[in-house]
Amino acid sequence: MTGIRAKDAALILLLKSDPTEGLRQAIELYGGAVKTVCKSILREGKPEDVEECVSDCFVKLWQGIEGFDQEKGVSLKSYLYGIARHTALDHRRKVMRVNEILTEDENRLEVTVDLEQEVARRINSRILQETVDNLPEPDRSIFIYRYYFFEKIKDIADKLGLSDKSVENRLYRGKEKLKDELIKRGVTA
Amino acid sequence: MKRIDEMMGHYKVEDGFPVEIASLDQGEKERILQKTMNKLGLGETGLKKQDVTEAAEDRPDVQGSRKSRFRRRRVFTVSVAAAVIFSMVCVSAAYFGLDSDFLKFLNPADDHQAAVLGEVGCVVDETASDRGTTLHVKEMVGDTNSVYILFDIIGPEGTVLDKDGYHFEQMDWEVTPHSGGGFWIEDIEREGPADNVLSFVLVGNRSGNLRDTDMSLAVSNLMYFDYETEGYLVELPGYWEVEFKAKYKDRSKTYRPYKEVEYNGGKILLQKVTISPLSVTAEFTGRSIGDDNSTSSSMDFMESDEIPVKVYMKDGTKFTGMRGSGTTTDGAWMEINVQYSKVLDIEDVDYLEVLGMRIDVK
Repeated sequence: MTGIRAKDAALILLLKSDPTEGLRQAIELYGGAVKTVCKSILREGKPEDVEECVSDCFVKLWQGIEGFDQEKGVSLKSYLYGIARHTALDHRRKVMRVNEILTEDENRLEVTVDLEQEVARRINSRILQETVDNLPEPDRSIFIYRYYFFEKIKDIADKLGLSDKSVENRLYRGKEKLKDELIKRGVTA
Repeated sequence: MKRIDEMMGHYKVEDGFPVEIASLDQGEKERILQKTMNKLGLGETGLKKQDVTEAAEDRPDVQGSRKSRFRRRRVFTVSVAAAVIFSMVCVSAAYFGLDSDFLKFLNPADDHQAAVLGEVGCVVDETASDRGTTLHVKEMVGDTNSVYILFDIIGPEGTVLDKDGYHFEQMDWEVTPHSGGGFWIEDIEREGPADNVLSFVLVGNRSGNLRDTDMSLAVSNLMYFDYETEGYLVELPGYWEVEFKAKYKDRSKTYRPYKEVEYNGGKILLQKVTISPLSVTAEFTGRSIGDDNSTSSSMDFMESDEIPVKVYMKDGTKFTGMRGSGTTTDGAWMEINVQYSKVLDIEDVDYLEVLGMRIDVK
């Protein structure tokens, strides 16, 4: 068992046996990671919005801890990233009622992928995962920063020492590769 | 589904993906915890654990109620699930005063490194007993900011401690004079253990100098994970507290690079680096560390590549044995402490990389 998996296993047991201490330690360990995602998505919001959203994420963690399956190879941090992303997008849509972060143009892939039906979702999610993971660096990281974490182009450029234009070009290239790969592997509907 | 952001909701970000993690000050953490508890209907965080546990007993997986004997610490217990696999070479016990299982935990690569540990370590040999069970704090090694303390829990004669997930209900490690930091406790495997003895190591760090400080270690109720009820049950009830002085030798070397490094979108000054066979500590000052006067400490269990202080050896290799790290901030001051999972030969270190900046230590 790796350090991370062992750490997760111990924390899951603690969340089940002692919610206060489990949540306290989950916040200690992963509160910053959850806040990162919430803050990026709720960028127009007040600090109170972000804090509310972070606490919603830990509510969902506790409520869903029985469904968390370590055997699927997902770490608790990655699982929490997913919860945070979903919760913050929901909060942005329903509570803040502000515009989408990404423009329609940037967000359009021009192919449709079935991620609704259970069987298709399982297969296509895996293909999506592999396709993104097979993008060359730094295109892969740029793609994840932008489309998963919704980071600003300028911030990504600064972080990676690239120009804004270069980041935009690489995002465009990543989109095209993703589209081509999804078509090639027959996952488009 | 046509939108990329929606599709990416099905993407799983790997644990080590480099993301700049937002800081949470202590006040935020407390408020978030309180809000979370309120939303879950679990009440005030200030309540005793017994009350909270009872409130949570609607959940079928939560069992039992236990009494809180002292205030909770923000620490992370690595349980039996985190059993460490040691890649220890055989060393001759004749060279060292340290307990052989403690040495295995500290993981020296050869006799020389084991001898170094033997030189810096000290015997504590203090005990406390309650309800037939004894806490025996045996030995310790340390440096300026880190410490490893070996202790046993000895159950009453005839007790068989063979369950999974042994840990303490409460743990407390106090250091006087006080400074920021954290600790966790790992259980260790013993060669031919007695049935009624369990061994643990407290791994701790503090921002202040630990050598010659007064320490106390307190633990209560040894618990185990019961698979039938899927809850924790008390194996050995009791409260044990031992006080002792940190009399180990400190072989740390200190460097003062005074170099600026990028942090939080600004520049901060690397004031001091302290390196020892057990850990490395880097101390910074700068406005971009924090925009308020909050004080916080956190313990992280990161993979080697994520750790902000890296050690490179003269033979060109990177030292990869990192056990965990802690970060303490206080306004515009920050300290990062990284503890190793094996012994570092500091004479063989070529340079360090601190937040991406090369620091020569020759």
